[in-house]
Amino acid sequence: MQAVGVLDLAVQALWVLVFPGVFFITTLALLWEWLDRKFYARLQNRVGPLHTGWHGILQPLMDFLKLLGKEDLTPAKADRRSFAAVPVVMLVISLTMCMFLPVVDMDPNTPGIQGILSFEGDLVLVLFLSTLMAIAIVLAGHFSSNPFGETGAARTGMLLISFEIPLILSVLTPALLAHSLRISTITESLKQLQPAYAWLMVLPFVVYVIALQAELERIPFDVSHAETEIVHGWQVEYSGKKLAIIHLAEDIMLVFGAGMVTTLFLGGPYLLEYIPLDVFSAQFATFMATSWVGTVYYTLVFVLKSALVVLLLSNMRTLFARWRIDQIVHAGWKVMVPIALFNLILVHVALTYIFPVLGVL
Amino acid sequence: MTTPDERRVVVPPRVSIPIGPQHPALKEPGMFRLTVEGERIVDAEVNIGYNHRGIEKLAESKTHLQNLYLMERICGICSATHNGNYAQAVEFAAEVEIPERAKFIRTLTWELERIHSHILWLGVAFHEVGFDTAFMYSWRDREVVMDMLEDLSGNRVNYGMNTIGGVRRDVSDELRLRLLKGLDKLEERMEYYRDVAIYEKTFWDRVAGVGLLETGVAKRTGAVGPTARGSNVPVDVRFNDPTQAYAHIRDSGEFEMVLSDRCDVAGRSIVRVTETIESVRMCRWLLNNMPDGPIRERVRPRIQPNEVLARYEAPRGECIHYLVTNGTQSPERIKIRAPTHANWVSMAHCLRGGYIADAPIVLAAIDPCFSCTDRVVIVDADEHTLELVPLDVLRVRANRWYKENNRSSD
Repeated sequence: MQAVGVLDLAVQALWVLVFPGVFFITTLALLWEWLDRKFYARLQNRVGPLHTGWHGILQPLMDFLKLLGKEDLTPAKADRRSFAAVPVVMLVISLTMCMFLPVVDMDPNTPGIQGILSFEGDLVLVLFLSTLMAIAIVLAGHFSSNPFGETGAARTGMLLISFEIPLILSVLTPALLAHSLRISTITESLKQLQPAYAWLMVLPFVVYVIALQAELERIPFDVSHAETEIVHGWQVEYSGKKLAIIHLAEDIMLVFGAGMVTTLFLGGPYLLEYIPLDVFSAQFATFMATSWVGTVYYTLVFVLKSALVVLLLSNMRTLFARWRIDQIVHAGWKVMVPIALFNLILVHVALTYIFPVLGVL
Repeated sequence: MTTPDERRVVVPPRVSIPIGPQHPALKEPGMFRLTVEGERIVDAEVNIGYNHRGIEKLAESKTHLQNLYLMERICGICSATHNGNYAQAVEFAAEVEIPERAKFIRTLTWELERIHSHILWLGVAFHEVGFDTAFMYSWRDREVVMDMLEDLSGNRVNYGMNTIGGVRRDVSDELRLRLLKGLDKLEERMEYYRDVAIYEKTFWDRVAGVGLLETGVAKRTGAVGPTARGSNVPVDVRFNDPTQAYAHIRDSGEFEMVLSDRCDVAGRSIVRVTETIESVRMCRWLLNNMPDGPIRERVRPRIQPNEVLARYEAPRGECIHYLVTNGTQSPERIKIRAPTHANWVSMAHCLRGGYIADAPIVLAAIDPCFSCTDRVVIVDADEHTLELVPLDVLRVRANRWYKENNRSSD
């Protein structure tokens, strides 16, 4: 009995630490950074990372290792302990958020694909954690006691109040369609819905991707660490190990963001299941859930779909100039929030009045 | 409930943000102390003087011919400006007329340099507002004109085209064809960038209505170049007081001064982009109408005592070389007034009332070039003060000091 318990614990630790936990997510984070940088560079007529590994694929890893070895400075005015805590907090929050992503089936007994952590209402917790991440950024700027850092922190706060609401509102649509606040259930039930429901997902998808770009502080929403204005804003005083960890946390946020788009709007790790053939019905799911083939298949589909989202996000980055913070707040409250609210009404009207008339279940 | 007398206006604390001496928005050292309330700039203080190299003094100990190459190194971007304008100043002092063909080639170099400088500015402007894609694209296409300049002069940056009495390299027929081909490509690309600058909403939102410099203020503060023309002040030496082949260009009637009445950064951007297209057309006109003849006239090395003022419309505005000769090979005094120096004065006015986010693009909008401009600055390390001191004030202070601390010879 005792031995079985220890073995269980070891297997669980393996899941959390290696796959699909910390190691897998970190690898994916560095991979996405490379993909983002390379694609961004190619779109700009540059070559991008080139020398470390195949087409520079190891460059993010090298950058991370290099930063680990650099001198770590803490400004004399900064609150020493809090200043050092922020990167760790950011890393922990971002990793925790990734634990909710359903990559492979962690619980074969429950229908659907669960992440390492999965329970009813976890969507709310994830949204809360992503807000917490933004607050950690505000604190990072504040603790560094630097005018640039404080300006960056203030801007992150403004960004937070403008784009967190549309982000949450857009996530409500899949939740409404699936009648659930559990991420794995949402993915599972979206799979079973008719194609007509896809039309309802278009608008929230667009809103979510734009809000995500703001959440990740990328162009045109990179005001909080605008290089030419406030010299990387809240990151300005961070160096060495702390900066490396901050960068890693940001990359993991990219994994999480792309993963959430995949999970909530693009059908998660399901691909073949969407083909209306008998082969891909219930037994297929059982087979995939119980054998190693499923692990490989679900992972590949998840990674592929996330990669597409990352490419979409980097393409958005090339298209725009940076907005000023007042323009962002205007865009957030005058355009994005009304669209998200309108969409919510639209979904409700469609579900209650239009779809029953049309005979869509 | 609060009574009216308890109510108070909450003003965000004033924070002083230094932009510079080292800052990613600045390509050269300069100092801008912005006092901000939240995101609003309430006061701006502009200081330069981190890049003083004593070139004017050095020039007094060198011959005119040596000085040509010294002047070229005042600034990496307007190297032909200072080089050509100095050559022009010496020729004025020597009272010699240079061959027509030399004038055309000198003007051609100047105009090509204007194209490359304006595209460089456009890229920097895109970069300042975070539009890195357009920055990369415009700098890629800037290579076309850089290659043309290399083809023409043999160098990419310091061209060394001018000599006293003419130019050093001729334009052959094959080169002429190559240049014309490059100009076609440039014109096409510049029209594209003009459309990007005007129709790309995120960029336009960042420049429209930003850094206002009203026509009256521009005149009063003596703004020059695209900064002034963007505020509808018709100053352009090429049309107001043309030298070299600009006289022919003006007389041809095909070209007009580019003006904008927007008075903001957008106006300055439009002026620069349109001017680049105009410059491409000027280069084509110069190549097509280039007269035959020698490219150089011998000028004796000793220049008779004279006092001249040479003006030229550099890419950034009017560049003045004031030269006093004394009958020797060297100048008695050379005084350079670079365009950035004239545009500084209005800078604090442009910055005030804007957002911090706009500061970099407002700074960039005058296309500052500190290395052309710098003057004496006194830095008090104990009191953390900076003080910009012109020469005459220094002289007055020195006289006063010697009066008070009389070194009696007893």
